[in-house]
Amino acid sequence: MKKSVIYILLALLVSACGDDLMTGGRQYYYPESGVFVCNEGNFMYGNAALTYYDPSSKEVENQIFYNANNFPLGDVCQSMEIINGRGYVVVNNSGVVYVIDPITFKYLGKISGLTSPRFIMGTGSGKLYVTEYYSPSIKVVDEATLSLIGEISLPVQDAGAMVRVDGYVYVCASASPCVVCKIDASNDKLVASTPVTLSPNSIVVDKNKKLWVLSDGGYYGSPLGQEVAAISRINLSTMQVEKVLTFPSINDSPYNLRINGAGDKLYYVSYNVYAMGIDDGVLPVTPFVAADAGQMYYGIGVEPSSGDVYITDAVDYMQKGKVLRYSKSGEKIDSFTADIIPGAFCFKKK
Amino acid sequence: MSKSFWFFISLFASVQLMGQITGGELQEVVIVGQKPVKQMATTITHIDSMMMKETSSETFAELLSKHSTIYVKTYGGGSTATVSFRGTAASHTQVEWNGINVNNPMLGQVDFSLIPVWFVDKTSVYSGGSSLQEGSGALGGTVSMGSSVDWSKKFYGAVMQNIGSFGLHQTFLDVGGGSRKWQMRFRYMYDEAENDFEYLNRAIPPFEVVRQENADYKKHGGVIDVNYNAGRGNFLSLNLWAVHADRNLPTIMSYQGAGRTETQEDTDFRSVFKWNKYWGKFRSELTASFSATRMDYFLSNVTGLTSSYVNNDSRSEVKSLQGKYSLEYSPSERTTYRLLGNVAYHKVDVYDRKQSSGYAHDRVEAGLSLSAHRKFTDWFSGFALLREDVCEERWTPLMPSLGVEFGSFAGFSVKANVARNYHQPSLNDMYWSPGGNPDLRPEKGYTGDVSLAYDRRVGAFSFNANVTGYVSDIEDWIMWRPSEFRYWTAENVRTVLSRGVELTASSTLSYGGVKATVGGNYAYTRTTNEDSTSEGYGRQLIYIPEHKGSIKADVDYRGFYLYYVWSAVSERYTTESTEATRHTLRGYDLHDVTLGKKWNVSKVCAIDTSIKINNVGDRKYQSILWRAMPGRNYMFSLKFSYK
Repeated sequence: MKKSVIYILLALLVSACGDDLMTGGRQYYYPESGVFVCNEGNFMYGNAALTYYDPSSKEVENQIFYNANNFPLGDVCQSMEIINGRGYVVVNNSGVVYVIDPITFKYLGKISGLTSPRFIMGTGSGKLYVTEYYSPSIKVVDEATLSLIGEISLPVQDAGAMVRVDGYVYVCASASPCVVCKIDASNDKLVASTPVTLSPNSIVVDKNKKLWVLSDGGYYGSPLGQEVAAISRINLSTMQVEKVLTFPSINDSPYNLRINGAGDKLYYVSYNVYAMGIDDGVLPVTPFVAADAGQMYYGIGVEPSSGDVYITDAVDYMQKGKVLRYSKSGEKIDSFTADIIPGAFCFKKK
Repeated sequence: MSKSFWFFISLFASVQLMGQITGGELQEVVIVGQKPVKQMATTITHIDSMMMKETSSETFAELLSKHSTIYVKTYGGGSTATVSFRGTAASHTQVEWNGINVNNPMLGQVDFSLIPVWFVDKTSVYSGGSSLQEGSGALGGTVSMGSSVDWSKKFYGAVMQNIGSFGLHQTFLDVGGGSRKWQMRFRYMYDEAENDFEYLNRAIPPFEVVRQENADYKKHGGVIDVNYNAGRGNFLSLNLWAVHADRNLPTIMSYQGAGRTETQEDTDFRSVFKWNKYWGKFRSELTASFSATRMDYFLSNVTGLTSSYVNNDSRSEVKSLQGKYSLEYSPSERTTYRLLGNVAYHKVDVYDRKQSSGYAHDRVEAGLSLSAHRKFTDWFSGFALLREDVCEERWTPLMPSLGVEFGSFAGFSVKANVARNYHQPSLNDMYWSPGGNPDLRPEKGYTGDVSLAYDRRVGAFSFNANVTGYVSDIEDWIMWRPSEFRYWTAENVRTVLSRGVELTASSTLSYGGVKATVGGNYAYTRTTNEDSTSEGYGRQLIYIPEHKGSIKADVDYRGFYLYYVWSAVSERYTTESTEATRHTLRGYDLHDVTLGKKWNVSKVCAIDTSIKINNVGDRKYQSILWRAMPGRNYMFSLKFSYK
């Protein structure tokens, strides 16, 4: 028995040495501005992938992470941020954030031992914040060593999207009670929290430093209940909700609120993609980009400098999804095939 | 005597012979009868006793994987295993135990890793439309298994103890006996493994040989068979089945989180009571069954140094009452009419304590079929069948099935079959919260197959081969897709065309003291999405290999025996993509060898020892994307039997 185990071990070791390990990956070099597409992949399949798109040449590279590093990205790639010249790729169900070089896509390191990471944000002071499902806290990570150095307790779990304004990080949490929390990034302390409507899923800040929160309202039969979806505007100095724009139907389930680089135009997905000015006062009725009948859009991203809008179509969620690129005036510029369930975007500036 | 009579004599004889020569299990000469008229023109494959013996310490997942054309998708090492038969979904394979359907009505499918081969004596596989003879819903086919009875035995028994790699311990017991009036039998199994095999994890940096964690399991259970010959052609039987499995579920290879606990506990209880009566030209069979299944699932994630979060803590309970009645009337040796009625009541209760969600639902379904089977001439026979089902007060359209058989001419015979079949959505498909869709229609399948069989026996050499081509068109195939609320929901969305070729062959030779059997099977499966408006149009469905096959060889010489199986599976897509991607699973082949010796200590006692080597080539492979599978492993077996 013992011998057999030893033999197997030896065999495995020998084969391990013989393999071209992580060194043999493909050599990429993309120093210009570009777009990363996070393809979630199917939950529990471990088939998440990163796609890279060059907006000027319209060149597309799929599976860049796997190709460059010779190992797979993992299970459910939720989001990506570029912080101080390094790319942080959040792989939710693998419990890891991979750090890559955004030009060569080579693996630089990882933040592992996480519970269920969703988003990452730099605080500007050598620390990173990671929000997670299930966990009633935000993990604090040392940017240099990539090790967990602390956590910030929240009054609620399932912390999600974050924005940073003037040394404070604002985060929305989708579990009950639904709140937006304000955290002082200098001392990692929770300063305030403001209730919002049911199930907030995205958060942005406009040019007037007002916070916009999109709540999808849950769904019928949800343990948390269901209510009408809404966009709330929050005054950052008072942390008071100033304005609530409710959606017309209980069946509206909008998500992915985004804002342009100028901070004056909001975008979100609700079957179609809608756009509205921050001063419009009412929700738009006519879509910015209408989906075909029976189809619905999934992810959205707005390139800050050009204002180009990138929209994903996950098709049937089993095959490679598509990415559509529109100008800020709504003209279609390009479309390309990404990977399984393209969801989030990360824009790299040269 | 007709030629086909001799055809079947030789077919069965070769099977029996193989059983006798290599394993020495079947000592008694079974009287071979002519194939019943009602089996004429039906595509049935019997898994022979030799193959059952080879896998006697394993489960049906391994048996079907090595010895049938059915593809088995497994998480490995005692974990969940589901099948794809002729390119269809797991729920399109119906499974019967002693004539009663054992598909979980909640999931629609069967976990074959919970069916020990030790508990089963006979297995038949009905392909395609032939499955309608026993019931509806098998768009791929039906695996029918059960116990058999030997009225001549006074006392018999066997004990087997196995020890293997990765903490494998198995104990099997089989004891039975009785008279020509009563026969009782009890079988028991205990099976546990740590499953802590080592593998090279190429999913996370740095690449290292790691030990599989949280993959241990414990299974135990028993089967009791009671048979009573009440005289005057009346036979009564009671079969009881109880299996409990406690499994830890390992994470996917790419997991690097803070820690996760995932467990599944299954308890299956089944009981089947049967009354067979033969009188004159009639044969009637009444079957009644009660079964109860419970599945507990638990998932939690570590969230901090001392804290963890429970994601799921669910319990699913299913209780089923089933009744079946079959009446056969054979006015002559050449004609049989059969009436089959069945009724089932299923009650499902699913509740997740953590999520505070679940559903409870019950379902009544019933079906009635009428068939006529006739042997028109010595070389031409056929059947016609008509079936009607009602499920939850909704009537399904009529299901017809037709078959013809020609032969045998110089050892050759030809069969053809066509049918329309319906598969009811599972209760989860309809009522799961959220996402269940009560408006689902049953999945509809049209299927046809043609097969050519050849059988030859010359002296001590026998050979048989079968090649079958089939086409199945399945409409309203149910898929789960994301809804506008981003939870997934079941819809009748897909049209699938499945076609392929199945090949089986076996030959037996006995010369001097050596008995040898060489056989194999091969399946070519092309199963594609046929919705022309879909982007996946024309693409092979995921997790269905185009090629699957195995070759086996058994040699026996004076009690020394060698079993060898080489099985291979071609690449499988895990996404619907025509081109190979980085998510495509590479094909693999496995060699399994068993070497043993059987001593007949006395006329009635025997000792059998063997060593089995699985995955001899230490192949690194994945059956499911990024799920680790064990390399070469060993098992030592000692068996004592009394007959």
